[in-house]
Amino acid sequence: MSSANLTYAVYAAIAALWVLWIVFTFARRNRYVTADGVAARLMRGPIARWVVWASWAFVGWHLFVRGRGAFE
Amino acid sequence: MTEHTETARRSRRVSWRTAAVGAAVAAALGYSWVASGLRPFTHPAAVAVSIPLVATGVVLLRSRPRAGDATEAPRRGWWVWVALFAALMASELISYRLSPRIDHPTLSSIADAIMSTHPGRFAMFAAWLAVGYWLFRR
Repeated sequence: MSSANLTYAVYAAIAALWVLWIVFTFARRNRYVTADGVAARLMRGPIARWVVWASWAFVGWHLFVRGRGAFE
Repeated sequence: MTEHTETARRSRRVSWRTAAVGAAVAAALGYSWVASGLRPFTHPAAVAVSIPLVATGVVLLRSRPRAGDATEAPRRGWWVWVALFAALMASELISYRLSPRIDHPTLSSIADAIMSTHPGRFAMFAAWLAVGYWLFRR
């Protein structure tokens, strides 16, 4: 397996685990913290909410303004 | 007031709300289509991304963090969220440190491949807006 395929496989495995955990916690939301619960908890913190905003801003700026190769 | 009148008023309220949500979604999709058609590294692209950033920043400034009912919220599974986030960040950083990029793709280079067409770029922009709405609506 090439390095690229291995990296794609790792990303795919992590993405699959994310989806499974989101679905699992939603199905058992009275016992487990859901994605919505994580977001709500983060947005309750006076500093954490700005960290979340800055992270979201970074992603948007990096993907749509700086474009391809901005950090290469 | 009769029960019939109250039911009619309630259904009118629901249909107004449905129309408003539909209009907001259509506006967000239209905005995403226009914004995703702009070239990176240009002022129009910077403005198109800045508008939602400023809007959400104002929302955050005007709202106060809610204390919430942390005692009633379930606490199980926090470590899994942290572990999943750490795994994603670790694989991203490992790929970022290695080269060439074609052998060690990062999330950004994968996103670049998806965004090489206008529909792909539109889908990414709309998803970014949707995540922003999901995060900052509370």
